[in-house]
Amino acid sequence: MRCPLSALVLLVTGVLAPATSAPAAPAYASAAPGPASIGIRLVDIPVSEGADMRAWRYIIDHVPPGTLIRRRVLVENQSPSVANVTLYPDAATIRHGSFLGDAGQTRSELTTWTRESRQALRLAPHANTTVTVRIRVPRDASPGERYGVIWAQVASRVRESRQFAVREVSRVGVRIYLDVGPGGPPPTNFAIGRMIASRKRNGAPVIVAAVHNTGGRAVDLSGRLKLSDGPGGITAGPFRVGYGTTLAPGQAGQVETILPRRLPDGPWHAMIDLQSGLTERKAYATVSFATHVNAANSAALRRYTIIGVILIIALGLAFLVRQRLMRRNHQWGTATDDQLPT
Amino acid sequence: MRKTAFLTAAGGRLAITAALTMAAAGLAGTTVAEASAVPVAGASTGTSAVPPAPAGPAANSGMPATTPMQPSSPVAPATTPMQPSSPVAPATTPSVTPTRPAAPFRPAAPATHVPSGPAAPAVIPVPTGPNITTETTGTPDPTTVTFAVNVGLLQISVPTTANLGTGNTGTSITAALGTVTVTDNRAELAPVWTATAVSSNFTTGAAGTAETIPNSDVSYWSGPALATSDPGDTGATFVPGQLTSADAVVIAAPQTAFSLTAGIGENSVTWDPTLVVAVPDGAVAGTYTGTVTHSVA
Repeated sequence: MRCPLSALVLLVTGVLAPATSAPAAPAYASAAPGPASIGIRLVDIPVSEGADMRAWRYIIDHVPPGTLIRRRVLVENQSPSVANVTLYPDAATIRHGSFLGDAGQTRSELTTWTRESRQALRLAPHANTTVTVRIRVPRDASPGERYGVIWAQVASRVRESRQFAVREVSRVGVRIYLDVGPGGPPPTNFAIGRMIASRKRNGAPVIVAAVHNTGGRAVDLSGRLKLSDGPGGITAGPFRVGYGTTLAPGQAGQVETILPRRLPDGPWHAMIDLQSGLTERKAYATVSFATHVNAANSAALRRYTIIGVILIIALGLAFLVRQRLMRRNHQWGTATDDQLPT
Repeated sequence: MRKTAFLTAAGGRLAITAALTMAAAGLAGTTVAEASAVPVAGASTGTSAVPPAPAGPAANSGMPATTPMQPSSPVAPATTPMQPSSPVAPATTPSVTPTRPAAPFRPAAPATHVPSGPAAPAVIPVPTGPNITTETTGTPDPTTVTFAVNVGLLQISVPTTANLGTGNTGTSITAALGTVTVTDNRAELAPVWTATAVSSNFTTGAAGTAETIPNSDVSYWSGPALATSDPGDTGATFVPGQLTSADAVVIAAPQTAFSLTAGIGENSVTWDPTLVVAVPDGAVAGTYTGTVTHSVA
């Protein structure tokens, strides 16, 4: 979607204080001041994607071949010492329901199109800087969605020891979901399949929903689950489904929602409402969490079963013994008759 | 509307920046092409003639109050960010040209002027020169325009150097890598991040076959979360990749170390992972060096 220039609006949302330490934090303390760290965030977002919250943290776009994209990222050094940060693009894959940047600096089509305005930064303590990322899509690029990450990386020095040393590297990144193709973007779509309810070993009820990405773009799933028409007509929820499931087009995965342990078994009428960006889908199912007899009952059941089996065996043996005794008595009786003196 | 709601939720920590002041002054600046180090946070570009410093509420004065964002104390970035004196021309004349830049990314004038009037109700119409980006196709017709946002960062702790001690061939070496902390200050309704760990081969000397411990012999387990932070008390759930040493995984390929599966807003978790290196029998003596990478995106 392209916004006509005349209708262009810009947004500046304001400044968020870097959360190195927050002694004067408002209502709640920010995430702990914590150790020395580096941070990254996206600065520029297409106006046309402004309503899609995924676009606020990832570089998400759909462009025709031959386009140049520019986005800025902000890198901040929140440590008390100078940080040498390197910036580079990396390939990424979506597998097992997660978006994973590849190890090291893996080349891909997307990384060859990508360049940062600065690759090596030397940041003073608590300083930040903005780096422009340019992605130049060639005119002959084939259509499809590519995934990558822009990493900001710091490394520790290696200290030699007697036999082993580890150089530790930390990197934090901004994901890229870049779709190339003429015209408008392919539709985003996903289908929710079966919902299976069970209880975990610790007794917490869990509902697992199967999801299949049937559209043309990757989805990052989040959403809510609501239970209604439970025992006595009670409702529960809405509960937030487990985040973090990312599916590439054509992939199938699952979304797991863990519920409070005290929920009754059911049956419940469950409604799950998943969304990715602006695409939302709902599914309904009747579920019950009583799929396992709980531990204490099953132990008793085992005990009774064993006793019952023993009893049956004992009865069977007793019956056999009785049969044999009767036969023997009968034989003895006949023999005695035969041996009567004539 | 959704956007506004989001901003309000994080509103306690938002402040209006000098950018707004610039905007109110109708500043149309350069496009971002050359803004190699223009800091956005606080937007007090050191060299450009930013009019008044962002005195919190005062900075709002020029802004049409179309959103419920409240300005808290303005937080300019703590120190002057490192930037070359960028040629950010503080053009004070708003060039309202419906722009047609001849060459795509010349930092020419074409800042778009944002009508401060009735824009979409949910947005603050604030034009800021350096915050305008245009994507262009081959034709000189800018088709996509972006806006700049200022939200929190996703952070990972700077690593310290670990020492794995010594090991004889044919044994396993276990060592703690030092704590890793991921902090997510993006203040989102559905925060998502995944932290992964991967290892390189451990080599010594010339890194020949006998001088290499392949990364398929390197395992990792994250252990439980040592410290978590969920300031909004939103039930943030952090899922460790490997809870105990029995769950250790080989990190030849990136494996999940920790992830966030529930919660709202800011969150943070610290864990102390352990690396287990199985020294193969054929490995020669020497100091083996390898790289373990923690990534979060």
